[in-house]
Amino acid sequence: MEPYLKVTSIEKTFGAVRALDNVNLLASRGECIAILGENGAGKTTLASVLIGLYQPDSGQIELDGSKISVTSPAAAIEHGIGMIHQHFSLFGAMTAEENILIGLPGEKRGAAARARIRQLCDDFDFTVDFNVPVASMAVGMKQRVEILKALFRDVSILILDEPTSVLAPTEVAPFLQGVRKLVANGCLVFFISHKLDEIREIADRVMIMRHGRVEGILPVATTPMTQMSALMMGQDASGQPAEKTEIKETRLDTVLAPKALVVSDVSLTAPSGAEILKDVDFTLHAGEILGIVGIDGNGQTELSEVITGLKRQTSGRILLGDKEISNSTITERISDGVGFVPEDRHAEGLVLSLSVEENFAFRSVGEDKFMSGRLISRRAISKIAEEAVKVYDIRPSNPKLNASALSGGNQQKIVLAREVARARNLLVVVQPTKGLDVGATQFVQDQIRAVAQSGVGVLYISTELEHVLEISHRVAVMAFGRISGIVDPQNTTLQDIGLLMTASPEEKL
Amino acid sequence: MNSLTMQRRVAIALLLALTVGGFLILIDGHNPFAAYKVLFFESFLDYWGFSNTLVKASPMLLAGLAVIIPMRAGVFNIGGEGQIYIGGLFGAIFALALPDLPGVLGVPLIFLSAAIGGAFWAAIPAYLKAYRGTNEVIVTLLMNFIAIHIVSYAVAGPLLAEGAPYPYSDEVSEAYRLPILMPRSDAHAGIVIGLAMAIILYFWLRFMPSGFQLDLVGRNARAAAYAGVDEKKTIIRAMLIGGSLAGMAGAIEVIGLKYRLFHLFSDGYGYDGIVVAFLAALNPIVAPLTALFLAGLSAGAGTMQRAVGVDSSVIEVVEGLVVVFVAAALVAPRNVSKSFLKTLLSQGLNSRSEHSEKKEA
Repeated sequence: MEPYLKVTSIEKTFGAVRALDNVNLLASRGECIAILGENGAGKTTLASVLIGLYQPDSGQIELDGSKISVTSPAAAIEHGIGMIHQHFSLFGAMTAEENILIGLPGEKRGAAARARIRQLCDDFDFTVDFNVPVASMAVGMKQRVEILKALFRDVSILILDEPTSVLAPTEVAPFLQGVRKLVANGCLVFFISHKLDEIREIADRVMIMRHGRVEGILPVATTPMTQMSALMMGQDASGQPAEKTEIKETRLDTVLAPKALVVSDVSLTAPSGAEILKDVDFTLHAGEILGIVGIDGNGQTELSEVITGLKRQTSGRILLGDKEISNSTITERISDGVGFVPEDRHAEGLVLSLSVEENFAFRSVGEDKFMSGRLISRRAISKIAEEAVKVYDIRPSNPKLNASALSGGNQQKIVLAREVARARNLLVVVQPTKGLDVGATQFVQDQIRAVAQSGVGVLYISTELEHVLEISHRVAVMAFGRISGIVDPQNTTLQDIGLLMTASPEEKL
Repeated sequence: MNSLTMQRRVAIALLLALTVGGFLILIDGHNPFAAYKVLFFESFLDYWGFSNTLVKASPMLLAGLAVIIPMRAGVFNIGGEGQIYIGGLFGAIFALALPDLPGVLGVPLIFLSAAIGGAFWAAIPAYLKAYRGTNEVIVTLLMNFIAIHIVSYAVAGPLLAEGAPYPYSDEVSEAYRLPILMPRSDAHAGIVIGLAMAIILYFWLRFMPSGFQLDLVGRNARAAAYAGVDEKKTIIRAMLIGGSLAGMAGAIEVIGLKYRLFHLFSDGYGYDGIVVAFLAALNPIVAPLTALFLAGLSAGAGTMQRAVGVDSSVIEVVEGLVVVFVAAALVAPRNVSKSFLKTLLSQGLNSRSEHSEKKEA
């Protein structure tokens, strides 16, 4: 078969960094190619070159036998190349339809266009609420709007950048189903992911990248997962399983451990009257990791914000150990030793325009360790940051660089290092491994385990079910702002958890 | 913050603005090099010219700081001009009401009351912005006109000096007049006050938690909230500081230069402050340099017109170009939220066009 897309000798450097090093690729329509690689391996850079966000230093792209130059995302769309980014580009104040039709000439935005959007939704089994602005949608729905936007523009090549990292477990299967339909309709789909099982399920071939180079393009069906991860990590395959066996751990006797956090009958009502949290009640013990799972948007994020002081509960009490913190400010909770890794590291966890070292200090700049007398000690900040950069192997290892210059995984390490250092009593982490590769995920989880072992209570909120089950001593399931059940991950099936996640508030469980 | 890259970018932007301005001078039929040379010599190397530059630089510097501090908290204070007027009014009222205090006591109190006046004028848009979500650009801008007319009313009515042929107040007593730095010239000590403020604010933003936290709000308001910083209070605080600084600029004009409260006493210094702030890449410690530069442009423009025949309005164009290029240069490295920068950029342009409209009127 004639290749539809031919990428030849693409090179791209940023300063001293070779982001893409002689990348070659042949791909046909109607196939799904997974792109696998660690953070910073060049996956996103390659995608950005294909959609015209970056211009390659050298090399060429041929589409359907003729050479093309993709100078901008608009040019990419004209060539039928679209991309769904990890961070969406939607207008929050607009509805789904307005977002999908934006930028199109007026005559293409009429009733026919609207009907076609709904048709696309039906074809790919996408549920989208057309009556609300995008800002009030859950992440999964926003992603569907993004995909619809590309589909509406008749893309023949669709690049998905870690599409499932934002989805609830229950949304993944339908999403993959939709991707399969795209492929069956002759689309060429690039699926950037770290999740080997997903790649196995969806992709025809897997392209493995490392340090900007293509380590191999292999058929998925005949390549063992161990070989994939070995190529990705640059280790021989035998090194991998050894790490995995360390994960098993003795279970914690929670009854004997002192209480780290007591959340009692906490409710949160939105100004609109919607019950976001309803009578949330649980106890977290010192040294325990309590996982909180649920379909995205069922109150998990708000629960983390109420516990850490970013939002105030409408009713109910929160105790940190024996101390009541129901009405404490964020700053008070910070000094009480509450660490918080928020869901969105770009928007919340970091100040990207500040240096790495300032990012270590910004959340509690008045603390003694950052001060000398009444003044901020830049030297103390540098010292603390340098140490953390070393311990956490944050790269590039220059703490004077802006945080924006680091890859997602390294940015997350900054947030984690900072909050772990602070968490004397409680660590609340939300989606801590979102968008991280296998190695970084392992690292983050190891750190969180270590914190728990040192006697800190950890609240681990995530939609990545396997991770939560693997790391947690107990798992609380949230549905519709309530805790619908707390289960033992060792003795619970995924079906049971699935049932609890969708348990309607009327049912007593 | 990668300030080195930023300052390099600003320098390039400045060169671009001067180059485009040079082409305009060329189109006007004159030699741009000769024109710029005269401009430079007359504003910085000539005794009288330099004194004139200093006189203009003092209020420009304070007005620039009055833009920088709110902007670092993410609020665009276009209201420097109005805050200068109200500050001048408050300062003058104090000076005229209590004319017999000793200078060491009177002058600080005049500055204090001017600062209170400016802060009061800034508090209104600050409250509306923080607690009502009103766009501060519009409110501060429109309040400028109110302030200008309040001063015009005051000096034409209650404060009008006896027998004055023109709307101005009585003279302030000699004890309250700022010392002159360069003998026989108008160059007064106002620049020293501006310099002191620039240094204090630089240290505050960099080395004190409250200053650092103010900066956080402008860089990433959500991250600031996550760090326990109250965005609303910070906006109010930043605007109060900005208003105080502009108010002090008003006092400098009254007790440093004119010794009376005149109507229309500030010739757009509040707007010049925006250019000063942009050009300094919002860094207070750089603001004295950019204020001097801008004051030099403005002070030399007249001489340039006389000596080379270039219309002095070219300099206004250059000032406008500086804003455009510097704003463009700041977009990439600061990389705050995109929408904030877009607003910043477009508002910067709008304010300049308002400015020139106002000057024409």
